[in-house]
Amino acid sequence: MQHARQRDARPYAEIVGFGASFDRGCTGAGLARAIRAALQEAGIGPEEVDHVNAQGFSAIESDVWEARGLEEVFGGCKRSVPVFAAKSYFGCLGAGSGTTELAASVLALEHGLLPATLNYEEADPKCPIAVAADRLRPVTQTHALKVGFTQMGQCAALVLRKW
Amino acid sequence: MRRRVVITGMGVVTPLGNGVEELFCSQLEGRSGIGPVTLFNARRFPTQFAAQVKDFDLGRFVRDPRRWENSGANSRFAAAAAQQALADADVLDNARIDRTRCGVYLGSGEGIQDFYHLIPLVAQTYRADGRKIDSVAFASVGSRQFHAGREFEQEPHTTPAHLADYFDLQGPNYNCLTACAASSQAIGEATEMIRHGDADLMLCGGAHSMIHPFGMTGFNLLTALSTHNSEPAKASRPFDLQRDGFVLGEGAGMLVLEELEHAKRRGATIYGEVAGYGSTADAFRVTDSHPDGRGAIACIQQALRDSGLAPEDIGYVNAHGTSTQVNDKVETLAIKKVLGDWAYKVPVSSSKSMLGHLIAAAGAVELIITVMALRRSALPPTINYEYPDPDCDLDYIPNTAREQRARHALSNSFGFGGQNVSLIVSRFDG
Repeated sequence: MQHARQRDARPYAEIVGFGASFDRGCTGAGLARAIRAALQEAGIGPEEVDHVNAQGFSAIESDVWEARGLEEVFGGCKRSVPVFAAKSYFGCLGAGSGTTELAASVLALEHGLLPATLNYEEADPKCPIAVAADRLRPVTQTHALKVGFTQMGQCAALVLRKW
Repeated sequence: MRRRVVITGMGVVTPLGNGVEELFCSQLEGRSGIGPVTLFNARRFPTQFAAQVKDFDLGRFVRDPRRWENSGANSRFAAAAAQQALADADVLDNARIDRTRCGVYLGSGEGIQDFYHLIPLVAQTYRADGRKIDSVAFASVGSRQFHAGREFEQEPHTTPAHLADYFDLQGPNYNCLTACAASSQAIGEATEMIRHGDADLMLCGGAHSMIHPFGMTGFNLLTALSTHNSEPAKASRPFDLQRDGFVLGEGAGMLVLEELEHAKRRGATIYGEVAGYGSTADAFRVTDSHPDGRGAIACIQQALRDSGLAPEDIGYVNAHGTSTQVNDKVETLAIKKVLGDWAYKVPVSSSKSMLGHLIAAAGAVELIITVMALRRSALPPTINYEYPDPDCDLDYIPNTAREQRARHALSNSFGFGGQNVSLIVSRFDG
């Protein structure tokens, strides 16, 4: 950060937390562990997350275990934390997904608006999460969480803070 | 004070033996693991020899080798080396260790190359008149002939995921693909993760095999391989005036890195300490080292600074020493630039003179040899050293091993593409 300041670079956001894990058997517990590690490093609780930028593969099984992992962390929150899935716009960019999707949250924090997830019409009881689908939402908190994982179980979670 | 990182387990699959003891004895004896290619008919290739793994039976290492039947050599070698390292460290099925604090960081090469299914499929669906693949036919034949399990194994993340799943290591899980520097980079990054507190124990290292028709052709096109077909065992001659390229090898090396206090509490055997890590890029050409060695110099300097040691503290250098004209010259230059006058006093040797180049796996296997050299006070030689090169004027431990005590050693790995990694390991005396 000091380096960026000294050369008058324009920061978009600050990365304040990161966690990684292996979710053995893809149960969601490993994903939750990565998220908790990232929140802990960021020094915030789940309520302070404005939105979750999900992996959201649109695959039957992986959306279920992702939702289970998110539910484990955010299920007890007083405030419903909206979940946004950028793949509903441009599909899965493979290894390029995480960074590209992260940009959506960087811009959401900067502009104060979170885009809606496309094509979310019918809620799946196996995915008990608050998908942000109906409209553009105002950003109300200073932090966003990006999660990513592979279908074999490698998980990563990143916490951004608005600049 | 930062968390210290020690080595508590090691395992290998190499052209000179599928166990650490056998590998190290072969290195001290100066034996070559290089011979004619037998994995395929290489008679018409410019290079007809390689350093192949011998007598490899995965069933000797894992209970259910069928689990890996769709995997490429990468994952199979990785599984065998990981089993050795984890058993050595008493981590296998050890319920007293919190598995969520144990991760995997590999520098494992690309996955299986499924030529035997792809090539017939291309042949069947190629239309000579339009010089293109008939994609309609490709889709229908491919969906019958390709195998979902094998296709999946081509992804570079499968090897570390298999190891995490099989050995129950639920912490951070990575693979980095920085060519010849990959497994050294994995060890360096795993060290940083333990220092930072992200994990208490990391299985790290690399696995790779490029001894297949595409791999050999690719390196031959880059004129990187030795073509010394008359005497394969003499082809890898690092720092020798008559060197003409590297020799392709294959294998795996795995280490268990552990936070010092964690290792002490459970009474683990400590083989050495990872004291320093440096990582830079030449930012020059994709297939050439920078002629002044700027990336290599900065990399060794970084590792030295990270370790807090002075040049005179380094008692042995395990060189990248590929046996290519450029690497050996530039690496010599970089060692001299960083170590100054001490460069002429410190013994330097290249494991590749006997093992060939294990590409992504090279760094981990060579670090294991380096750790053994410190522990046994025996430095392996550079074999095939016959004709001195005026540009390579250091003590390369020519041809015979040397009994010599050293406390700290430097191991270099410089990737095609300009990625450089240097690691410093130390004897552990408590």
